[in-house]
Amino acid sequence: METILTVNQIKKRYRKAYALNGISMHIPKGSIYGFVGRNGAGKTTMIRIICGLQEPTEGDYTLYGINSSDRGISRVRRRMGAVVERPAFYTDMTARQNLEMQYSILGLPTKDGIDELLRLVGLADTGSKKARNFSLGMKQRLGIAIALCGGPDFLVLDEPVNGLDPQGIVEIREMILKLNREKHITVLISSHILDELSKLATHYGFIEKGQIVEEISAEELEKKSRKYIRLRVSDTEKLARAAEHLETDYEIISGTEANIYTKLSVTKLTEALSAEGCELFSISEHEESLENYFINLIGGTKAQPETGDSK
Amino acid sequence: MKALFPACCKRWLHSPYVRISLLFMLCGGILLAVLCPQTVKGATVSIDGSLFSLAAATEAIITVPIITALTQQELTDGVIRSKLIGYTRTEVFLSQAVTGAAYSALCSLLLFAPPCIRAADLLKKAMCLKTAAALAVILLFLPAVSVLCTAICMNLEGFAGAVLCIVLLGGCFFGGMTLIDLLAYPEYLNDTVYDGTTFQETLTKNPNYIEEPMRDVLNCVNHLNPFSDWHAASAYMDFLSVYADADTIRNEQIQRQAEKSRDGITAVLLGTVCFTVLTAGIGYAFFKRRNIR
Repeated sequence: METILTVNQIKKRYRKAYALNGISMHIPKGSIYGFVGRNGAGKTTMIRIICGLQEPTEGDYTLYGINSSDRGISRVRRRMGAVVERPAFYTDMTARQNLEMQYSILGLPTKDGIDELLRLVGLADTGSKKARNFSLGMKQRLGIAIALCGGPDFLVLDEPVNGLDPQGIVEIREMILKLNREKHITVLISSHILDELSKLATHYGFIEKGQIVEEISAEELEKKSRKYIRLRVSDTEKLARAAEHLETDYEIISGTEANIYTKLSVTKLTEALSAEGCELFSISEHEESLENYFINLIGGTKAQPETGDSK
Repeated sequence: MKALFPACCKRWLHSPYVRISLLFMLCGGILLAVLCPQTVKGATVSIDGSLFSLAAATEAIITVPIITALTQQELTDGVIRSKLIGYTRTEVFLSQAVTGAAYSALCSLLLFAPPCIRAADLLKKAMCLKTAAALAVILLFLPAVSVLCTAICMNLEGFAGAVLCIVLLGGCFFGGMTLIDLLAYPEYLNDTVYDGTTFQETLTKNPNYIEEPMRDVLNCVNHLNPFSDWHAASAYMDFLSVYADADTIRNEQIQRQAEKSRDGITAVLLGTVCFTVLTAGIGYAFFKRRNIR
């Protein structure tokens, strides 16, 4: 598989503490790579290094086949766009003026794509409104539009939905999917909202304490994620007896709720419950969430299955 | 760099602060053109250096650092990140410093060109390498100040950068004036003693006189201070106002006196250039190693 970015054993030290401790990752071309990690795990530091804002203490990376120690690395970075932490723009300019300025910075001869970009991010109607007066969502979208100037084929988005309302989150998600599907832009996206990320990402990189714990494709993750059935019953003690009789893997959540992890026939289950005199109130199929998978992976406190996605 | 410099210029010209300050400089220049050149018997014969100094102090300490600090906020608002994705740090720093210097050079031109044009006859007659050096110091003074401000603003975010600019420039101004006063003490004091019948003059060593090698060190520091250099250049203009008029400028004796007074003006120019290069170098060295957030 062709990769756009390959990170090789990068370490970053701030004074005595290591923010990155030998991180390695591979971003396939055309993917939406979800970069998942706790606060302070090193996501933003890694993104800053990729964008050339910081230098690694050790290790290197290869972007479009150019090693980070090569002189051409800053030229090749022109093929990428980035929004790192907070969107960057001139607050005393309008959305259009900001895009024109970015076109000038990149040395682009024409300003042809500006209208299309403004339409794409939904800022075509902002007129003479200065960017300082934009809402948080508009600022975020302007940041993405600036990152898209010059038609990059690799987009780096650091927490792009932070602080956005649900409507804004959906808009940004749809925009990223559109860019990936229609323009074939590879996207590296870090987010704390794992539920949101799971609706986008085709690949995941889980980072913990400055190291990649696991890199996995969304397909593989789906295979590995445990599916379960959530039951609400009159008495979980009776349910436990029925589950043992069926030789199934189960977990009691509360006095009336339990999870069954083995795939089994609903008819058999209801019959077994009936035989134990247990009344079944509801039944729903769930899948282990990205959040739970991540927490299990890094060895944190296991989250309650209530957070699971309902199917 | 080829694309970055015009983009920086575009950004500066877009800023209302920059446009207002340029207008302010032009008005100041017209005012200086009215006030500075002294006319004797209907002919323009001199330039008032003290007015030049006053204008420079006001413009340099107040306008240039404030405008530079207000405009060079790309580190604070994060726009520097957009530039660093695609350009080297050297290109980004150079484009910022050169744009700031170009702006302040334009300020210098707007402020000091009108009085110089008005006193063109005098300058033409007094023109030599050293007069050119003095004029160059006058023109380079604001760019030197601007490069210092850029170097600070490229490394310190927000309000802290602006405050440090003003504090450092204030320090340079007042430090420079103090140093000039210290170095101006004569080596000997002339005491006159009256013994009842006659007055006797005796030369006594001045305790405030700064001896070598400290004098050399302070002179060197003084030359590296753009405010001191400016002071020397404006003193040169004062010299013109005292000695150089249409009839006497070619007088041989006065020329000799002029030569004596002009001693060191090229060193002063060198000092301003060194200050600019040094501050740009230090600012760049920090910026190159800086972790951008």
